[in-house]
Amino acid sequence: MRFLMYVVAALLPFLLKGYVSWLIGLALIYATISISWAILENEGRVSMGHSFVVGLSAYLSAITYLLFNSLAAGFLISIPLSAILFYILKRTTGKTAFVFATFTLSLLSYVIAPYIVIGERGGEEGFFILHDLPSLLFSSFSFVASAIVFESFLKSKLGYFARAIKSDELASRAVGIEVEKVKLTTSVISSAIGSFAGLSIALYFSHVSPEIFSLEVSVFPFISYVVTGGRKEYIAFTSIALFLISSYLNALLTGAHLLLYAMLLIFSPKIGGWVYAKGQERLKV
Amino acid sequence: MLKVRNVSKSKGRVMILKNVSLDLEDGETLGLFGPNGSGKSTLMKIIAGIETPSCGKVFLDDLDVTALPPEKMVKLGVVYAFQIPRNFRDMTVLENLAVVLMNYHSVDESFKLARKMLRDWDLDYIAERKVEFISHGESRLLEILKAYATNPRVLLLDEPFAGLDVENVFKVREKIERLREEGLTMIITSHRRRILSNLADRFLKMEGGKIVES
Repeated sequence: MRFLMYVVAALLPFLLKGYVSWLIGLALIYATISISWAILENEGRVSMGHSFVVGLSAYLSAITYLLFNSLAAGFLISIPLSAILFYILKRTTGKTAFVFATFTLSLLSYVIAPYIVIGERGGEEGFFILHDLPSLLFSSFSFVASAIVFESFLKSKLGYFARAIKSDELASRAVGIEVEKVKLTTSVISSAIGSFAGLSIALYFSHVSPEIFSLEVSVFPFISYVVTGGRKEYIAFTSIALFLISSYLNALLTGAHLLLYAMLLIFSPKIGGWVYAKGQERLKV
Repeated sequence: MLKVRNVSKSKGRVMILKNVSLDLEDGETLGLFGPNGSGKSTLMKIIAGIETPSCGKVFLDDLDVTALPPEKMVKLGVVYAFQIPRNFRDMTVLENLAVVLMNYHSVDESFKLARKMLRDWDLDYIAERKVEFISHGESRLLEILKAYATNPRVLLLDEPFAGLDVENVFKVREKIERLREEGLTMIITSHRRRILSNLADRFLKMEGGKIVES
């Protein structure tokens, strides 16, 4: 059923026209970012710096395109770079410190990005990518491919091991789970999907600017997760819905979507509590 | 089979273990008893690789396994069941067991095998329940079953009867007796010797971080 929902979501931009089609295409990219984020969360790590993964890929793709006329080179470099960085952060920080470390990383990249200048390009304006690639097709494809990887991950050994680590790292090691291997693999998968999302954004706008590292991008997957009430398997759909609602609110009143984000975060314990109560009811039955 | 030689452990200024040595033969069950804080759990954790000794060595079949991490010790066949059960909270009982089996089998096979093991241990009625909704006795049995699922050569059971009512003590005893009949090598700790009677081939008493009676 979920697979069908993914396919329908990916086809929607092609069935609709104009601005709505463009907006849903962008929502698919944001859903891909959320999927990348959810893979890390499945192992118990809440990233508040996922804009770094996305931005790094977009920036490196734009730079290698400018220098060598190759988008793929930057994209491919960004995967191991962000995977290694996130793995190091996982090894060196606890669960709480990881949140702040990734948040700081995202903030730093947002501050540094305007100073990236190559020749007369870059800076606050960013980089332009003049291409004739089918960007909507690419973002839809990235979304479906990421969703398939995500669903397979959740049902795989790796997914179960990651859930065990999330629950209790020492207990996982005590029954023979190779924690470091699992952490490294999830970092690579998450980074690969995040990098796809970064390249999708770069292609979609034909332009990359420091805004891609913004905290809004970083916080978005977390808010989408809050809306799912902990059912991360639905994060792609809540992301699409949240993105469309927030875009509508923003069109009504600039910045109004931030109010929605704030409200969702403030009331998230209540959402969690509601889900918990429902779960208990179900178990009693 | 398993040899512990002159193992000491200090935390800060406190000496928890003082020059402890012991031997464990293949198929033997050793009962380790002594008051709370005598160092039983620390010794078990050092053998399992969960803690590292300040000095001394642990040998398995004459191979120096001192300070190997727990996941490597599990691969060598030494596994530890925690004193306070550490089951995976957001998983069901079935998933808890299956995830351990996934180290050796495919996902589907692991679930099949886990169901069978739960049936064998009369726990199939809680298979689909999340572990936060099971009793302490059931949680204890699951902890032991998870350790057993790694197909160990040496099973370290740390206070398996702690906090259990009489009925559950009998249930856990019955399962441990079964493991013993299978010829599994075990060390079982308790702060009461009486509770270990008929379960162990040999007893060691610990007090103040030392073995004081054998």
